[in-house]
Amino acid sequence: MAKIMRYILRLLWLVPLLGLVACGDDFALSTKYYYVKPENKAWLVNDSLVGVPYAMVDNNGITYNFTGVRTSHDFSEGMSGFLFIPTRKSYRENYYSTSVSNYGTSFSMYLYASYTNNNDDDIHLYLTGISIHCTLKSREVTYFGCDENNVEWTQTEENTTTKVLVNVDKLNSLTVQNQTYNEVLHCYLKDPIGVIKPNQCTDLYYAKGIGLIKYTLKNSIVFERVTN
Amino acid sequence: MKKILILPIMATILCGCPICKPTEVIDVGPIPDSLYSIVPYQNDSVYQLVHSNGYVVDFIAKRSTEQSFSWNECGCSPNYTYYRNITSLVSDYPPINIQLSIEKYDSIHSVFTMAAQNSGFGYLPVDTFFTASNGDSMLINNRYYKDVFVLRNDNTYNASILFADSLYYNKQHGLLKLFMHNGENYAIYP
Repeated sequence: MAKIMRYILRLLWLVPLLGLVACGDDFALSTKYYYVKPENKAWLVNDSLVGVPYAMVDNNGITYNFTGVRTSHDFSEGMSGFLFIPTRKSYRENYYSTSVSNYGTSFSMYLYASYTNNNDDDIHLYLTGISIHCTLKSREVTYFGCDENNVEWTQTEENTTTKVLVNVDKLNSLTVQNQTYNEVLHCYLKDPIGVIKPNQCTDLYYAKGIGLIKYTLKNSIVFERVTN
Repeated sequence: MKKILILPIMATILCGCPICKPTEVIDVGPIPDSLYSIVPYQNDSVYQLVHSNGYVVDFIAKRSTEQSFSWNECGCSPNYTYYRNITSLVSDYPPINIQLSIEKYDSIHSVFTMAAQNSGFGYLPVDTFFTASNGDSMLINNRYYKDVFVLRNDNTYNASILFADSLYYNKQHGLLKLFMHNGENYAIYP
């Protein structure tokens, strides 16, 4: 009997451990918040433009009326652990805005705080089934997605014939439909392997504080933002 | 205690579905040609509409008939097999998907519906809509069309992204003109 009692006492240390595990997602040894840098928030759509419909006209004179512009601000949760015990909980600040045209074209932009770089943040752009993620300051492409799975892509191999070339530039200004926009992010694709469809975009221009101002489809149709 | 248990059981039996024998399935019969002719589009044919700024859009028509079933939960009334004929006019650019649907519910009641993205043009009773009133004559792209009906968008779900707010339609030519919310339009290509 004494042996059994001693054995039970030896296992008592498991009680607090199991307690920690049982606490699950609500418990972590440390918590960290990742915030979007204040200067990068200027890339979000201006408050005065939130909810304001905008129009884009293509080179055939057909107008796409975008609306439903909405923004959200949130923190996405992350967790790391050791032996099923949560050791670190993280909260990543993110902003989101989206708009949909009367023809069903959807444009979304996400601005995420960077996990890895204290001086940079990540911007995600989504249009016509094409997704491009890049860092805002260094403009390093971190993700490219299209309708096909596992497409190989590169940012550096300019003359590639086996991958999609994805690149991002920052233009000081761009004039679209007689309106000049300052600080414009230009994402562009070259598709030697034919994974991008004719009705998907190969060029996308996003102006700081304004949003989508221009895009070109693979079939050479160009859409430009018009101001009233 | 037993009484307390019996009470909810009795209530369930009394208020629940009455016990009926499985009922027959009534086939309302195929859609007659007189109804098919409301939609003049042929399967796999190409139709053209011209945008108000001059661009001509090609639409491919797909047309098929499918069976639908009404389902009576308690089985106390007959189930019906009825038919729906759906015509889709689809363009690649600009991306437009117009659906025209004819449904025959029984020997009297049939419905015609038209929809484009975010825009619906109602359940129109075929038996009265196309016969009780005569359409007007319309001049569209320098050509006269007879028996033209005006259909208005009845979808108010999200007015800000509505595609079209009204259209002209006749049984001979189908969609004659589609009026967009932004003032642009698509008209039949002469």
